[in-house]
Amino acid sequence: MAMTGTNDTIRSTRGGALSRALHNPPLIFGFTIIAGMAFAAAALPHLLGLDPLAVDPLHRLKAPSATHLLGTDNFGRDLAARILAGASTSLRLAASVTILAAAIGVAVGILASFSRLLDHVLMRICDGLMAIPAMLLALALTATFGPKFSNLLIALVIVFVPGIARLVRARALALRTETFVEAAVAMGASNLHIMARHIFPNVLSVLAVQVTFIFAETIVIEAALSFLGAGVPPPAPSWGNILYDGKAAITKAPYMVFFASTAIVITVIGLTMVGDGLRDLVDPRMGVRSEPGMAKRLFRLVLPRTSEGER
Amino acid sequence: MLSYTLRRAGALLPVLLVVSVIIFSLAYLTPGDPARTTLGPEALEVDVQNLRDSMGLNDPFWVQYFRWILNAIHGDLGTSYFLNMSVAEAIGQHFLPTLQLAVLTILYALVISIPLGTLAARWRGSIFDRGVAGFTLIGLTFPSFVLSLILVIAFSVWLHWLPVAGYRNPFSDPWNGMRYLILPALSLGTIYAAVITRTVRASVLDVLKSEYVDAARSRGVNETRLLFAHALRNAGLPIITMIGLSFASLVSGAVVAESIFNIPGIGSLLVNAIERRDYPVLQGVVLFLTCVYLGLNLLVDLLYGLIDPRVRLSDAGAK
Amino acid sequence: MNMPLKIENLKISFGRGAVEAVRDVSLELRPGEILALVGESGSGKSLTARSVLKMFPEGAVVDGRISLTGDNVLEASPNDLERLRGEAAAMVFQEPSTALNPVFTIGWQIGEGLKAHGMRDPRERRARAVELLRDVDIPDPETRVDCYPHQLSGGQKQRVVIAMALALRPAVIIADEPTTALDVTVQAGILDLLRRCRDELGSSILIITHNLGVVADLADRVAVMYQGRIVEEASSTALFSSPKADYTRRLLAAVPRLGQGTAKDDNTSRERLVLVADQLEITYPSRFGRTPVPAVKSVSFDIAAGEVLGLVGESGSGKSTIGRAVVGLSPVTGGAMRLFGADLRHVKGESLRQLRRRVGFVFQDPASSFNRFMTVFDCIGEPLRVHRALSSSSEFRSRVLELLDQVQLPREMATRYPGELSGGQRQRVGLARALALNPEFIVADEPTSALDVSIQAKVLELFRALQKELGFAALFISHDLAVVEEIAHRVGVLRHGQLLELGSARQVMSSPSDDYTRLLINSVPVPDPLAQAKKRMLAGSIS
Repeated sequence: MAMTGTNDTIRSTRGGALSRALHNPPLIFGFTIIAGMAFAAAALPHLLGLDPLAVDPLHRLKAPSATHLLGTDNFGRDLAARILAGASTSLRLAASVTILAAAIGVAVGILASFSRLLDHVLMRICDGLMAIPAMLLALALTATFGPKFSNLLIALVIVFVPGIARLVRARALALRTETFVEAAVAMGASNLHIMARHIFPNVLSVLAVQVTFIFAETIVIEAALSFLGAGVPPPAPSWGNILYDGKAAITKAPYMVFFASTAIVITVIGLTMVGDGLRDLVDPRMGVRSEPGMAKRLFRLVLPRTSEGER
Repeated sequence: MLSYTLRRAGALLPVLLVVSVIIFSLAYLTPGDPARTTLGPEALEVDVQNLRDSMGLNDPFWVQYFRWILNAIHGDLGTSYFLNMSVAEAIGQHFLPTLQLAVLTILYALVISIPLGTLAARWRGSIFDRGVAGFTLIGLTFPSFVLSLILVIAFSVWLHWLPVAGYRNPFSDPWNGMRYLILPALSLGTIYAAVITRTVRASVLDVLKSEYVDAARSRGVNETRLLFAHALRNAGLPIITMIGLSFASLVSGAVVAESIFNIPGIGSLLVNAIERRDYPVLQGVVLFLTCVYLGLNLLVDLLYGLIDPRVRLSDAGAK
Repeated sequence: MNMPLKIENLKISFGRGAVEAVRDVSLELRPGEILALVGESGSGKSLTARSVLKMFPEGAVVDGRISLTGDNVLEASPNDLERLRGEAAAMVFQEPSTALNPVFTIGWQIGEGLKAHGMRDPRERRARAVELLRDVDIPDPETRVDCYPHQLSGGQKQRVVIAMALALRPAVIIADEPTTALDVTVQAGILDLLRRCRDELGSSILIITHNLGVVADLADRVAVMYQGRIVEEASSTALFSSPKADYTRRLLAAVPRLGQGTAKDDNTSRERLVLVADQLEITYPSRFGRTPVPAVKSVSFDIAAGEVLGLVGESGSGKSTIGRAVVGLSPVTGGAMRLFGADLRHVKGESLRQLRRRVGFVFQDPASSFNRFMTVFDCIGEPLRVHRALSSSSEFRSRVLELLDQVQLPREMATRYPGELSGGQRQRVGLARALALNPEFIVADEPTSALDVSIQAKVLELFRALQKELGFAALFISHDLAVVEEIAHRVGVLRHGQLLELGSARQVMSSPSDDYTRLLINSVPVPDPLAQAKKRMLAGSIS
């Protein structure tokens, strides 16, 4: 079959997307932040010989110094080591949750858009799950399953799947009434062809944006859950656990809360930028028409005005 | 309008049904034996079995579920394992602080966000707009509990202006009551305000670009009136939707905030219940808060009908 | 003489030294005159019109002078501007459904303008609103004044918009494409109303339009705009009889004219029928609690091989529904529709796919009928791929390039995305896609109604040439009688889902047997002021 034609166009699509990605500062900047965070979490502890679990009762709640770059916590553990290890916990969890939730959500959403009966059953369940505020559901689930990394993962996947499924289903159903899909139907294309060539690429673009925000939300909810004692069980390091310890020592060592918060906020900012950048990237039309995204406006705040914003 | 109301309310029933099944199965699936928990580890196995029978724990899932849901409809959510009172009573006791916090938060958020968003849209691209953008960025990237902790460090630890944590009833002690509530409301409300400000700005801008605003302008209507009569009313729909949706994050935020600030509200009740594995309370609180959330969203739906004649009148036509 | 409106050397551009949208336009509107500003999309005509009330899109850089009843609009203070808007000049918009705020009653919206100009008493405002609604022939104005816009029909909404413009008896009315969004029969009424505004109230009217028929019907004088410049300005009769500028001549030549003898006789053999509709009925499943209303009721027609059948009708007539039913996009719920002998009511799955293979479909809106993730090459080749029509990639490639040649697009376009093409180019791609599998039958659903006249003429020409060359049969759906007359061998007229008349194009156009067909034909303004005036008088004397 027409392989060369397909290959040509795929290449040109990719080329176009890549070059547009490179011209998208929020995306590049946000991606750099997240990649840097991941690299630091993976490499630095080994390179610097940091151990997040090494207790040093003599040096508890010591302010930042040369030996302990970010100080020590209430057990005398090195805070820098714990924050880096926390980054690794958070990013691993968020990545796993996002990938699993996206895969299951897409499957459920597309299944629902195929069959009426399945649609009713699946969407009622999704509605029910979504009616419970995310945090409450996550709390209830982790309380039920018990505090364990894998349980936390399952709980968060359950929290996020309904939203993705609903989004994918809504998008798929909306696309089915679009003229270009009708055109494909009219030319006799099979359901499979329509799904693969028309629905999926169009759903993917929305999904990519949504998934980035879920990544960020996972990090926040994990931190909140751990902070409440229902997330990653101590003494394993996680940003929420550090905040929990830090809150107890808030008057003596406010820097604990401060450093852990900074780590969370930077990650969320990075992810928001990636999300905003992706949104511009996948839908150039929308990017022109709609308001510049959050991150773009952040850039405008920091950088000199671009001609676009002038009036 | 009445049939619209009934239909919106009716649409909630299946959701409530699914929610209740989910919440019940969570407790059902929980490892551990409530009868054993009630009697303590030293109790005899025979006694535990008898209690299981009398509590109905040996019945099949659906029988237990229907018993639970029928009781719940009558306001009986079971009895706490630890608090020596019914779950409904416990919720009643903890409701007031949460309600106060929520009302204060929403008031603060609305008072901030609606003028900020509207004016940012009016003076689009100005310094003011940029300032507002900076403010919403804080709200969107700072998780509320992180903001709470930072505010505590700033106002309580460093400046000593406000208490670190605690609660006094503002009705009996207005001055101190407010002092204790300001930080939680501020940290929660800022997030909420940021989200709403962004929606207000975007939807007002949308309306200002629409042709009917141009048409009104061409009739000589002045800009202020365009902004307040047309833009704000038409932008009301997306704004109200957003407010409704953010109730969920408000509920989530309140749970954490209460635990940070030691406010004896529903959130603290919930967190304590989780620590003590007090499942009836956990179940009851989640069900209760979900119902509140759904109820508020029903209210939002009804407001929708009030603002948009198309919703209201097409319904009358359908009858 | 004191001119109500005088535009001098108006220049509008966007960004620093970037696109000049309006270049040095000067215009004069005399008292009691109707001046038409004519041009295609992007000619800058709407920008010019809106600048009279100083309503510019964001980022516009404006230079020049506009004097409105003696005041300089461009330098007016905000207060003066508010006074001028509505009192000196008022505006009628293109799309009445977006020009009215959906959440307020029409009475409130009329009153708003009155209030802005100092009418304090609400009862007085209401009384005036009722009076205005009566003036624009809204039936039962006392009740309608409390209606919301969505409760009125499109034509009524436009009347309300005109009523608002008339509220303060402005010296100048600016009508920006006031009938483009409306059906022809409704358009005729609105044009009459505008003429009455001038005759009875003495307003001067600046009407912006792309429709030369409307110009001939209404205007005293015409200014033709092209690429931001006025290329010709003349009295209406002079412009139509002896156009001077090149562009005007091309424009006039491109306009499809009704009843110019191009209509074909029906002389195709009826031996092999491609499509047969027999008592066809199409009813969409209704929403809960409503009785379903059929979109198409007992319609019968057939199309022979090589024949083009035109279906004409206004919005809601069911013409598109029939076209969509041919490829199974709308359900056949009663009667029968046989495509190549197979009853579409019972065909499913693989056999339906094989039927669809033999039919090409051209959609109305070329912008939305392509997946924006696919290149032009992939879009055109999609039918080939779907039906695995060609085995080797080189054959595939050469077929797509051949199709591009056929629709007269350069081969380099293959690598572009549909979003980068102009409307006319996109519609050519649409045609190429429909032709990919050498179909015996093509359904074209309003293929040119989203295009400018000059581009429409080229696309129609291409369609006709291809039809002659390839000999496919076609169902050509349009709201534009003149377009159908040019293309179709036979014509069917639809109204409210019923087929009122069916016959050869010549017969239907020259001697229609049905009253509605006659009304439809009479409502189309002829692009010739003298003929149109005669026609109007004739119609007036009949009614």
